[in-house]
Amino acid sequence: MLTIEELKKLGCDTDEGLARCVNQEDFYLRLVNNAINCEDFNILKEALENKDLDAAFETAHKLKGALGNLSLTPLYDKAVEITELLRNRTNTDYSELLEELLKLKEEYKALCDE
Amino acid sequence: MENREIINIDMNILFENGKLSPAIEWISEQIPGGFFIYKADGNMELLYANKAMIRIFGCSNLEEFKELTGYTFPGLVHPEDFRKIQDSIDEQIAKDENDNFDYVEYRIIRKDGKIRWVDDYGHFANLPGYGNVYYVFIGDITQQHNAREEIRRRGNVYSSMLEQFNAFAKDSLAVMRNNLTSDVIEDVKGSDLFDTDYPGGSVAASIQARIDSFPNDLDKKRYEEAFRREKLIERFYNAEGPVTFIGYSIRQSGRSCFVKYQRNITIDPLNGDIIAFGTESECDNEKVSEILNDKVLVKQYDMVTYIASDQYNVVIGDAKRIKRGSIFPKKPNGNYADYINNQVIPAASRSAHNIRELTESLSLEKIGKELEENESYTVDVTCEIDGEIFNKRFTYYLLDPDAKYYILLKSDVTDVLREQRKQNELLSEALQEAEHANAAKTSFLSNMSHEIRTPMNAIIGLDSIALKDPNLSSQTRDYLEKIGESARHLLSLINDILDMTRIESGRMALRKEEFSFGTMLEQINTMIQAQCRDKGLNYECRVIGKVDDWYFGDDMKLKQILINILSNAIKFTNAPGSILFTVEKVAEFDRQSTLRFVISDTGIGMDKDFLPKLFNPFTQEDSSRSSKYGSTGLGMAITKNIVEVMNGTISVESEKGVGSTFTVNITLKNANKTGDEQQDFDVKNISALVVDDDVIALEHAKTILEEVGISADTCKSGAEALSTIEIHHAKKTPYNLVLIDWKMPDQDGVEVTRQIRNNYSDETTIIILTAYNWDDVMEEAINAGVDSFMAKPLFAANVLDEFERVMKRKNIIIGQKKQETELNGKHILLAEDVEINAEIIKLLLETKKISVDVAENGEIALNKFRSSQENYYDAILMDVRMPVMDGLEAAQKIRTLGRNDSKSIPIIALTANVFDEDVQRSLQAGMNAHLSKPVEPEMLYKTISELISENKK
Repeated sequence: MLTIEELKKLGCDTDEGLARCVNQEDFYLRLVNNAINCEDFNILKEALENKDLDAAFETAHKLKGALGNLSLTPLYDKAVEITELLRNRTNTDYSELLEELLKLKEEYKALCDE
Repeated sequence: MENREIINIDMNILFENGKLSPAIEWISEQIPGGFFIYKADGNMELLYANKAMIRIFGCSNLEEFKELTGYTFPGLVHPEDFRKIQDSIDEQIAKDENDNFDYVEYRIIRKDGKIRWVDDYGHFANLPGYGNVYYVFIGDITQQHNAREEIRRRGNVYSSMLEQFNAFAKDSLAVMRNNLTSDVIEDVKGSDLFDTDYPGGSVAASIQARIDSFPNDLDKKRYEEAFRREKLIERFYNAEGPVTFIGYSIRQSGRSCFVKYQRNITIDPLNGDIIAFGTESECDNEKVSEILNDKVLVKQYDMVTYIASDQYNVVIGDAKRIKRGSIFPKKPNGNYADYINNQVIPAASRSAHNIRELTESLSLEKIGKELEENESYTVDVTCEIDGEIFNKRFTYYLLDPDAKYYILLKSDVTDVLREQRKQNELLSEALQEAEHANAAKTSFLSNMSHEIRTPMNAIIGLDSIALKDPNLSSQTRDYLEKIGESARHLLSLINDILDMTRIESGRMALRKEEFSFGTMLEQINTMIQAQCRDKGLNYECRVIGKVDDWYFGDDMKLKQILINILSNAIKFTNAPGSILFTVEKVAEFDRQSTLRFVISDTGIGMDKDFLPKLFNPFTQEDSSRSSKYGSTGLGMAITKNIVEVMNGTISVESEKGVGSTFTVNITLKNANKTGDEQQDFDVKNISALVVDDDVIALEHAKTILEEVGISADTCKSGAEALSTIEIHHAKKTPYNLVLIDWKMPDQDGVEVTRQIRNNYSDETTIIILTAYNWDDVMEEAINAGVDSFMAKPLFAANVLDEFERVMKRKNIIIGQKKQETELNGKHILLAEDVEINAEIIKLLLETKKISVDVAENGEIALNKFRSSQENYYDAILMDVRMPVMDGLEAAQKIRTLGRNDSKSIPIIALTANVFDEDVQRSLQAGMNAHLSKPVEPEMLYKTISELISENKK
């Protein structure tokens, strides 16, 4: 079950995130749900597999923005790491970072799905 | 009488048968005198004329005589005389009833036209057959007549001289009638006679007395030559007229003066003696006027004339004696206007005169008008004569106000004006030199202060940086502290000298600001207390009675005065002495308060003799003191001058070995503020930027600011500063304090200030930092928008004071919110491709009752804006990174749409990138502000609100 408490446990700065959503818990949780279930994670994965760094950057950047807006801090930090590498189109093996990101995402997804 | 005997006979016997009897005729023809007979009636036809008659009339025969005279009695007589003698003859005949004789004299005109006088003895008779006739004997008496006339004339001269003689007697030293023939003084009168002067005295003796009265031998000789008896008699016979001599004489009374001696010589008509009428009168005035006329006037004026009835008459002036270019009149008299028009104007017209104006100035009409009001009237005329320039001065005086007669004096002022011009040139050269010298002095002092201050910056800066090192040995720390102390002392001396030059050049300006009197005292006391404690002195500050908390004036200068005197007191007081500082309001009038500050110490005191010199620059009672007490000797001079600039007074009492007491009275305007209203001034709210091309100075400034708790960014050039300020402005974190070095390469501080002001108006306090004397650029700098100046290097103690003062003056309350607009009902276009972000922002805006349209990319945003009504959207929030068309392009396109609102609508960039380059890029694309994601709701509202509000304006 996706709750503020659970998100806090995962290390999210929910106070900040809620504040940004003018303390509307429902609205905030809905957006978190949307973010976790959005296609961008898959698009990013695909782009990286295809070595389409431009598309990957676009998507990582978008993800970073959304995650940051919701203060999903652990996910956001990881997204930032990937985005900054992609910003310079660093040609490296992103699979480990991507795996970490997706693994983290699964934790949230588990909450959503409960 | 004998003639009468002859004609006293009966004339009837003369005629026989209507003709002169032959015997009578023969006799008649023989006598030398003229004889004729004429009818008393009718045309007075002649009956007979003898040969002598024909001779008297210069004719050679009877025919000529008849032709000349018409052979009638009126034909004989000069026409002017006839009527007169006829009346006389009738009268005499009527009177002399017994003898019927008459006697007349009249003129005749001879044939050669000469006029002769004749006498005429006539006898009236009635001859039978002839009727009434006259027998007449005439003789030529021209010679006798002339002799008689001469005697009468002499008589007239004599009597007129006599009259003069008597008239002169009143005002003269002496008048005398001297009979030269008999050498006797006949009459003498006067106010200052010699012993020799008495009636009956000798003329020769009196002449000798005069000769003796001349102190000058030349006068003696000349007088004797001219006035001796024989000489005067000779003059008379030569008809040489009166003789005059002026000599400097010592009279009998002892009086000395110029005396005018005059002798009029004539003949006594009674006895034929030669008489000299003598007058002697004082003539100092005459003599001096004569010299004035002849010498002084001639020297000063090349012409003196009078002008009467349009005519001029030269009185003094000799064309031959006058230098070239005198425009002397060609004739000694003539028409004034002709002279001006024919001689003066043509000469003047060759130089650059306004002829019409000059002609008018020299016109009689103008002269008359001017002299109605002024005693004299002067016209300067510049003439060119033979290629040389002459300056002529025409001066007019009134001679007769009613008749409009004037005196004209013409003088040559060419040399005078040349001399004057030369003098002026010399003067202006001297002035220029003095100005140069003064400017050189000021610039020397300015430059020197800069030259010294610049390395001082480095010394003080590096010293303070070095002192931050925690690993210093205590000895090194001690050395560094002493270096800093000495450097600061040296700097204070330079400041003193600059103060003095400011005072001397009158450039000391006073602030007129409200200040907290309490705060000022507190600052003074903190500083003085510490110094006294260090030296082991007792310090006390007492406020007597009620003194207001706020006043209006220059607290910096007042503080300088008091600290100067207090520091002086500390300097000259040895432990365990004490210093007492009292403050008292002694008067209040018309919202002005006079405050008295008294500073007394128990120091070494001063000699009474020295007290008057105390306030002179560079004086100390004992010159050896300066080394002991270390100062320039300018302190007291500056103090006194500042007191005077503030319209205050300063006085001192002192006794050697007992102490000194300084009293300062200053009048300040009362402030409107009362009580402790001092605004909070929290350094934590200050964000500062320091701009300086000198890295050490930059580092030092940052250190000083951090010391007082202000965080500061630094820039090394104006350009860098401008872009940093731009970014901070866009990020809505503007600096509220910018410190800029004045002298920097490329752009100086004033120029940077001007650009900051152009771009951001007044949101920042700008202070120029300089090691230079800023008096010269102050005005320009203030016009450019500089708020204040601070001398480099900065000192922590001054910094906060100055910031607080300037910010207060600018009425900037740190952390104050800008004007904001109510957001309710505004329309905002949001371009954001990430749905979650868009939703969050939308929610945030909607909670403020803002209606939001979301565009998923730049292109959609552009189209939405394009199809909206003008001014429908109040602002656009633009994500930068978006698919299809990014925010930068969208913003650029919106700005170039050409709609009324396309240039002005606020566009706020939203981006996760917070690098300065990103901010700059969005600004270049035409956006107004830059918010970093994730957005802070308060920051979002504030930014939107401010920008809308600004746009509305």
